[in-house]
Amino acid sequence: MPELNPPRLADLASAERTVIEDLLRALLECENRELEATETQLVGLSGVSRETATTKLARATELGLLIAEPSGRWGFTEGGRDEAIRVMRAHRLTETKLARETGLAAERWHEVAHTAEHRMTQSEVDALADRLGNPRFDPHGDPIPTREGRFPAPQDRPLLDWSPGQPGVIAHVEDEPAELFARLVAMGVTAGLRFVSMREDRGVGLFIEGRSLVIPPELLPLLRVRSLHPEEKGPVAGAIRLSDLETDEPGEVVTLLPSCTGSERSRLLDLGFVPGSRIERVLESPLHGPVAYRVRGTMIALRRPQADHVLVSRLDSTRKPL
Amino acid sequence: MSDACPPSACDGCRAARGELERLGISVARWDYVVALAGNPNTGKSTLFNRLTGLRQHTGNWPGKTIARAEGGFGYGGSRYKLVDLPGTYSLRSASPDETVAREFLLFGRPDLTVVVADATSLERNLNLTLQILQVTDRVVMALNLMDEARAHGILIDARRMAGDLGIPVVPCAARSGEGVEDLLVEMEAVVTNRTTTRPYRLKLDVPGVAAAMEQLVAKLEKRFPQLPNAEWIALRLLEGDRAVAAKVADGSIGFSQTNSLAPNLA
Amino acid sequence: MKPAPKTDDILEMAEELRWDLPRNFNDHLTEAIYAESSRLAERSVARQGQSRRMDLQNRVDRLLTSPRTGFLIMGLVFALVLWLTIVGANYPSSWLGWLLTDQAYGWLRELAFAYLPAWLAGLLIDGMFLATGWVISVMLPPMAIFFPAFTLLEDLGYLPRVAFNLDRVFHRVGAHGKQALTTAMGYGCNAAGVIAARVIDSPRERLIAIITNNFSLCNGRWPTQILIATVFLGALVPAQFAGLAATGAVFGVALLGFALTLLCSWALSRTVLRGEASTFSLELPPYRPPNLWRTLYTSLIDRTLFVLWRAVVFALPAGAVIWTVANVMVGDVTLAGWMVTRLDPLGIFLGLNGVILLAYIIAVPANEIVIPSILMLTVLLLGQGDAWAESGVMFETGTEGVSEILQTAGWTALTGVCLMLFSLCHNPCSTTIYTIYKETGSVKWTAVSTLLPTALGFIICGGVAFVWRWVQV
Repeated sequence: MPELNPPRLADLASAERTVIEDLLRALLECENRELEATETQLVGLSGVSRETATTKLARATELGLLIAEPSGRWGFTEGGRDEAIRVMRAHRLTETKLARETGLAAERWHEVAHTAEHRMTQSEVDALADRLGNPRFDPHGDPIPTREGRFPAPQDRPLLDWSPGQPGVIAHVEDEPAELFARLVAMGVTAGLRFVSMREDRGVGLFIEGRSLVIPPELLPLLRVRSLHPEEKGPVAGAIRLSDLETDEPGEVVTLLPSCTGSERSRLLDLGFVPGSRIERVLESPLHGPVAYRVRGTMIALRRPQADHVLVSRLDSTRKPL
Repeated sequence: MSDACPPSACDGCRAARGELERLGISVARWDYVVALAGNPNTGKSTLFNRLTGLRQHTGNWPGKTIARAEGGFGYGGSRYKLVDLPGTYSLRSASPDETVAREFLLFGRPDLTVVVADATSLERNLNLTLQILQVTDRVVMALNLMDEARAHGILIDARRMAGDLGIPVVPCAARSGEGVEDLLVEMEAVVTNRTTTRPYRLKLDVPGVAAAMEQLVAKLEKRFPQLPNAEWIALRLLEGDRAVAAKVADGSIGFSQTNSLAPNLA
Repeated sequence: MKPAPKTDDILEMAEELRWDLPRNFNDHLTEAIYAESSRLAERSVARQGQSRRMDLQNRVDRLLTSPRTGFLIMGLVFALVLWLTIVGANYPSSWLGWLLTDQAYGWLRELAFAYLPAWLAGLLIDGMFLATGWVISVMLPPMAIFFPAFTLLEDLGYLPRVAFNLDRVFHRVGAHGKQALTTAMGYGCNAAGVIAARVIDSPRERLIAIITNNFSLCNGRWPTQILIATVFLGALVPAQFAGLAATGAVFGVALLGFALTLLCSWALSRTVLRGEASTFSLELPPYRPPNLWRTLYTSLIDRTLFVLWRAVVFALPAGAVIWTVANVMVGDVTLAGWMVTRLDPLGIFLGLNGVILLAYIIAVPANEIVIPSILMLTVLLLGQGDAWAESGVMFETGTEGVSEILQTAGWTALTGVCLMLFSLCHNPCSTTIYTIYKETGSVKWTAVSTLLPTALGFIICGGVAFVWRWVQV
């Protein structure tokens, strides 16, 4: 039921609304991470100054969004949680859109989405979700709440707690601070990739889908990982990226990496880049541009970043064509 | 109306099999709606042009026909409205062309769908065909570019394929007109129910999905006993297709598929 | 129970179940369908040995995409198409000109002035018929050569190879390789090029392709380029090299257009459309022998006649407008004269003149009528009173007559060069503007697509004029 109190969140001046919405999101994050929702905690998570936080938390209580519990912790009202979820949904959907449809650099997604999340109405958020085909996860690997407000609790833990030698999946890549996130993006580390970890002197060594990397210590806190689901296959030994496949060396597609999302993913799948497809590198373009591969009877040209998304295994070249 | 085509095999054929009458875009009244679906670059538009006498030009690169083109032709005393859907590789993504194609097959309820397949790369074309068979019952496959296939040394057992897919499969070469007459005969047979199709429905029992599908299909079939494609609808719901969800919610998904002589198309 | 959308139990169940599905279940489905396709295909498809056709295709592909021969062939093919168009169009053009503007015009004029009031006869024959006759004789022959040649290349499957070859270049400027296709399409018609941009999946790169499409010289501008190059640049060299010089100049302008396409794509992807190419996949379809006659036939009917028809439809009212501005008096000068005097300072600063600017204002509906407008306005302003009698003579003598008239009107090689440049860089025709609006759904991007080339045109022409004059002094 909508509150009968006259002012509603949508009616506030945009500056005030932005601060309150940031606080609501911070509280939602506390709930998900099972943290104590004290004022200090909320200040830390939202990046709002303490004085502003004090007045705006009071204002949010007035608006019927929050409840101050006697223990000094904060809690949601029903309406408050809905607003928080709308903002989170807008943020994650916007990031998904940016990842799929624009060429915007990954480290700038957060900033753009952060502005957009405070400007979108519920119906705009829903329309965006429909247009994107109601995705379930955003590019960082986080679940996007449904319009009914449902989303599962995360089951990940920090990479630092992971025991070496064990295969796992990168579950979440934190996008703040942006410059550290940009380094991870440049290394090709994105949510959904499978890895095997090894301790190294200068950080943690990860063997990720056919490539090995060393993650320096300062980047480690940004990564959260999870173990493989029972139906998931572990990392494939001997697999390489399609871009590393050489001419006259037939290969077989192992999988399309999760770093390839949205329309690009469905396009590549539809073109036949599915596990088990035999694939050959057939034509180089001049100036070292795209490379054409023959897959399922058709020649498809891909640029290097696209070919990096395809994991293949080398086939014995004496084997008969499929 | 002047005949626009150069002389070829299909023009003015034996009257016993019916005469093709090209109606161009004049399709004010029709008896059957036929959807033309297929991968890009399979000669779909060539077939469209040959049947309707229209001259839609599309070049030899993928994804040229993006808008939906309509035209008409008469055959064996009936008038057909032909809807040329955008060429797509699949029916499952949210891209605009696939959405147009999918929603027309699902909600436009054509009396017949002709899948135009490229005989030189059948595997890729079967990928789309199998998906279309999930959506709709009355399908005829036009195995196009047979002349190219022969030049490539590819032999196709159309009869076996027809048996496997449960639909008529007609080898043809729309460019030269080869086999187009046979295609018309099969199309007529299906829309007039002289041929009954038994479309091959691939079981979508992918690990982790089968159980969810089963539950949803059971519910769907209980509420909409007439639903011919419950599995596909269930899949679309799981894939988050809101257009399908809306039709489920308002109950309009359950109408029967055939609606000949009912020109109620948007 | 009322099945309200929010509480539909089937939908609720689907929403619930979605979260428990494996993340990549979509992949598995596609994989399963492909596996089945593969099994079915294997059951009914047999291959007879190694196909010789395939070998040939592979060899042709290597030739067309190798670093050594790929670009060479591309350049030769485009130059050949241009040369065929320019040289081949001469003969039918002059014949049509003789037929329509010499024979038919004189005859119709006599007839009209005998039976109709002078103003109506003037409007119909001196205005509308003459403009239309010009458009037909200037436009039809080059289009009847260019479009079929282009369509043949397209049907053959060569254009995707061009995109493959050029992708690296487009990648460097933050655009999509398929922009090569829309650029090529734009050489036929910019509105068609803008529509063709739909083949580019990602919105950012698609927008870049749309905005920069105007730098592809469209069919309406080729005749301008060809005529002006022949009259002003062909005349600078000995007669036997005139055709070559003209072809070279037109090729040069087309290349400049390509360079501007890249430059603007680069600038856009560094500023308002910031980002890197997000998706890329390009299918290289097998070469298919085009059905020669059918291709010639359809491209003549579809493209040539369609475009010609459009030009005629716009030429008729434009002819009427030209006649009107030339005959309505403002004080003691004609309206045209009055406007040209006002536009002259800006025009001359840009290396052009007032007549050219006025012609571009009249020709917003279609680029095709720029040259007819310029010529008719020039003739009108030159020969006061007796203008129409002279205009008949003008058409009879073809390009030489044009040259004479323009030089009498004070045109120099600079005017010619600047007109060629301005024809490359100015606002798109109204059809294209409307198409851009329909395709982007945005007033902002439509405005950018319109104003960007115009602003560039002013800068380039002004710059060239400045340097030219500076060097000459």
